[in-house]
Amino acid sequence: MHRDETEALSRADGLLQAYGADVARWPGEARDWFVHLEQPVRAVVARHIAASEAAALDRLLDRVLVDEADESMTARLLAGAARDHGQQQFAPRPGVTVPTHAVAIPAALPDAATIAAAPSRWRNAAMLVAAGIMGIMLGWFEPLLATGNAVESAAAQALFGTGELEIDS
Amino acid sequence: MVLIGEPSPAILAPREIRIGLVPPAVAGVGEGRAQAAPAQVRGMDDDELMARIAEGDHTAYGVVVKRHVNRLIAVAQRILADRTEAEDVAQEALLRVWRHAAEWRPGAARISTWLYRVAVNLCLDRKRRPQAAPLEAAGDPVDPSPDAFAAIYRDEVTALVAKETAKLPDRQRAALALCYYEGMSNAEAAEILGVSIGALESLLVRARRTLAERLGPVLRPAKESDNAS
Repeated sequence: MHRDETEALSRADGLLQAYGADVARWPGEARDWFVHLEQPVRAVVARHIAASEAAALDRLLDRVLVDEADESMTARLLAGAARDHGQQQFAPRPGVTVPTHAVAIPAALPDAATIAAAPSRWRNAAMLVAAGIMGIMLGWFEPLLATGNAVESAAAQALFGTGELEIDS
Repeated sequence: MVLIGEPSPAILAPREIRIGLVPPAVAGVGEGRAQAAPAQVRGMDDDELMARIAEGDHTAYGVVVKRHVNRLIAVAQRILADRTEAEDVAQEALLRVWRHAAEWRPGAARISTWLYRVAVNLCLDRKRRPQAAPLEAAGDPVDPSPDAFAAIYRDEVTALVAKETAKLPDRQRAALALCYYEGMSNAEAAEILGVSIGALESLLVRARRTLAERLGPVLRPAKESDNAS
């Protein structure tokens, strides 16, 4: 046996022990080395590989198959992501413990420009508040107006009598 | 939004403030977000996909899921030897892509490498937990024909190989799953396992040597029949 063959077989044994007998599974540089061996040496190495224990082990390993995932798995993951999205909006930073009685509030109240530009929800709320304030104000001032009328009535009575019409018979 | 309860500087820190009144896209997939067309997304590279996912693009996420789910389950099943747990691991790994897409650093790694690293670590974590004892399978009635005996022998050999592979140390089994079954390059498998290429080769050599010893009675006839043919 030539020295080249001995060295080639030694290197092939190292690769067989780690990667098995399928040259396609060897690292790129090892594949290149094998492909570029001189023809007689490559034939010797190829016969050695085919007869190796690694080749027999590969055949046994190849018998153990796994099933492919079905479409429902993909659908479940996408649905899980959709649900997960909402939770992440409110999630605290990792490592921060949120007490169970915590309440979520807006970070800042919206300014007037935001309210004006916002959908009708904010405008409706502002109108409701304004109507409420007007109601309170009317309720507050009505007794005062009524008191004013009474004063005016007393002054008129003093000047012009009871105000009742007397009909001469 | 600010989460308050017990006053905590960490919780009240400005970085925690997230402005927004209503969480969008909770109810439906793709609601409230600009979704890329599927054909457009399929041609994107890893970094572009992760950027889209970080923006909440479910189409981009779907592409990543479809690209990797099968191989993730296969790797996990070969490490865990349990289909249901393998699916759980694949699901958890892929959900982490969704949750952590915003933290993705462009050009740092490939999605596949990152995903397999997460999945392998999840598998190794699960293997460290106490395992439930497997239920004994009920025996099937035996068909006495010669072909049936051959089929039974093949099935028994396959079951034996699967059993002996499952008995390998976790990291050896993971190395075998990545390199042999998934055909990954030794550099990528080493990166996923967080070891050097030399250490990966050592794991592979030990795994194959152990299997060859344990499968000796069925390995030698296989080798002899190979030689005879």
